[in-house]
Amino acid sequence: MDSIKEIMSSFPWADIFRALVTVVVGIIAARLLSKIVDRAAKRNLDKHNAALLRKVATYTVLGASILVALSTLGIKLSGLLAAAGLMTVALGFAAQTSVSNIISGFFLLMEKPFEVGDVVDIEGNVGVVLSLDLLSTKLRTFDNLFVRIPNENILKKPVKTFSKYQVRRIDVKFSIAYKEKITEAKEIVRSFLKSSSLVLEDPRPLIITRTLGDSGVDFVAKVWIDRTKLLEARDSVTAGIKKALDDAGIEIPFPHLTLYMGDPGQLRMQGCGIAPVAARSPKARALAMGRPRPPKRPRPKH
Amino acid sequence: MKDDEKKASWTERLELPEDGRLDISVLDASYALERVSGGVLKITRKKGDKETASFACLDVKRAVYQPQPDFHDLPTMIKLKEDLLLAPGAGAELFLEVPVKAQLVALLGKGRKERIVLDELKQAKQLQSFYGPPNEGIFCNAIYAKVYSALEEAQSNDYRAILPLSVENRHSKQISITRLLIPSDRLALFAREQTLITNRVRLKVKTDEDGELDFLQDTVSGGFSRITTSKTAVKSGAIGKLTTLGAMSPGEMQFGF
Repeated sequence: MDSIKEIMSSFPWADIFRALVTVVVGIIAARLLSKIVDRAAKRNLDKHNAALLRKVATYTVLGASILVALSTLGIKLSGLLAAAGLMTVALGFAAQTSVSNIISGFFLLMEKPFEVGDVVDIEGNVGVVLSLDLLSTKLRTFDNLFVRIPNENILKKPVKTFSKYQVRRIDVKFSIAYKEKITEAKEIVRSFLKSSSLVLEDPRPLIITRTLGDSGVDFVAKVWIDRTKLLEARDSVTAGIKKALDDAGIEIPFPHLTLYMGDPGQLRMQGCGIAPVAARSPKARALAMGRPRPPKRPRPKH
Repeated sequence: MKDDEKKASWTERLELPEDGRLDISVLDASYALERVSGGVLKITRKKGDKETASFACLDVKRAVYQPQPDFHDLPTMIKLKEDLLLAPGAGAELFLEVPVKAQLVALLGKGRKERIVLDELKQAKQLQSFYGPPNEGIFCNAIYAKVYSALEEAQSNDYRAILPLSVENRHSKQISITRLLIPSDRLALFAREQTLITNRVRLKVKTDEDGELDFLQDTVSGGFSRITTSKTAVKSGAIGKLTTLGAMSPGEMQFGF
C-alpha cells in the first residue's frame, strides 16, 4: 500500500495536467484560429487558397501545442526528433497509403489543377468539387451522389476540369444520304447554327465532311458555346440540325439492310456468291428462300 | 397602337391619369399601366402576339413613368457589313449601330431619384460572341452593322442606337477594318424624339498592333439631348492600347481591348 502511495506521490501529476491543458488549449486555439483565418481569407482569397491557409494555420498551432506539452512532460525534443526518424520509417510502412494521400493532397493544393466549386471529371466521376482535404477530394456528381476520391489517385490519373475556361466546343455528328448535295446540306446547317442563340458567333462554327460512311456522308459540326449552357446547347444544336435538314427535305440516312430473296443456285450462275451486284450494299445479306420472287414495290399512299 | 396610347419619348415623364390607366408604346411593345388598388400597379405588356402581366407595389399616384434606354452589360462586337478600307493618312467620319435595350421605370421620391424597373425590353435574339482566344477571351454581344457616311442616312431603329465614329489611319500602309469591340460602359446616350445616338468615338490606327480608341463626352450636333451618362467616367484620351487579336489576314484588322 505504501509503495503504491509512494509511486502515486512521485508521479508528475502536475506536469501531466499542464501538458493536457496545453493540448486542450492548443486544440481550442487551433479551432479559433481556423475560424478567424477562414473569415479573413474568404474576403481576400479564393476558396482554394482560403482552405490551404486555414489548414496550415490549424496544423501549425496543433503541432506547436503538442511539442510544448511534450517538453512540459520533460521529454527532450532532440531525442524525440531522433525517434521521429525511426517512427517515420515504421509509419511509412504502416500508413503508406495514408501518407501518400496526404503528400498528394499537399501537391494538389499547391499545383491547383482544380479548385473548390470547379466541375471536374476524375476517373469517370463528373461533378462539382466540394472539398480538397488532407486524404481525399470530395465531389458531388450531377446525379447528386457523394464521391470520395483518394488524393493519390487524383495525382496519378488525368483530371479534366470543365470550368477552367468560359467557352467550350461541342462536336455534333450528323449524316446525309449519298444522293444529297454536300454543299447544300452544309449551307443549311450553317444557317441554322448562325440563327441559334446558344451558338457563339465567334469562334465561328465549323462543319467538316468527316467520312464517306456505310450509309451516307458523315459530317461533324464543331460549335463553340458558353460552357454553362452545355446540355441546353447540345440538345438544341442536335435537334436543330435534324429539323433544319428535315425542313429542307434532305434525307438523314440510317443503316440499310437489303434482303434479297432469291435462289442461291441462280445467284451462283450469275457469278455472284452472295447477292446480285445491284443489291450489294455494305450490309447486304442473301437468304435462300426457295423460288425467286420479284421484289415488292411500295404502294403509293393516298 | 390605340388612339389614346402615347408613343413614349425617351425624355418625357408620364403620370398616371385620373382614371388610373396609362397606355404607352415603347419600341416594339405596348404597355397598359393600371392602378389596381392604392399601392398596386398592374403592368400589362403586349409584344407581338404575346401578352404578359405583372404587378408592382409602389406609391402609384406619386410615381412618374418613363421608358429609359440602356446598353447591354456585355461589350459589343460591331461586325461591319461592308469592309472599311483606309488608305495611309486617310480619315473618315462614319456612323455605325450598337444594340440597346429599354426599361420601363417608375421614378419616385424627392427629385425622382428612386428608380424602380417595372419591365425590361430586349431584342428577342441576341448574337452572343467571344472576343479573343478561347482560353482568355471575353464574352460580348455581336452585331452586324452597316456603315453610314451621314447621320441622315443612319436611322436608329428598334433596339439600336447610332454610334458616331471617326477613324484615322496613321499607319504607313492601307488597312481594312472588319470589326470593332466597343465597351458599352464607356458609352452615353443622347436622344431626339425616337432617335438614339451615343457619344462620339474616335479610332486612331498607328501600326499593325497599336492604336487608340477615344470616347468623347459629346455627340454630333443635331438637337440631341443627353439621357444617360457612361457607367465608367469618360476622360479625354485613349482608354487603353488596342490589340489586334486574331487578325484574319495581313492588313485586315479587328480592334478591341
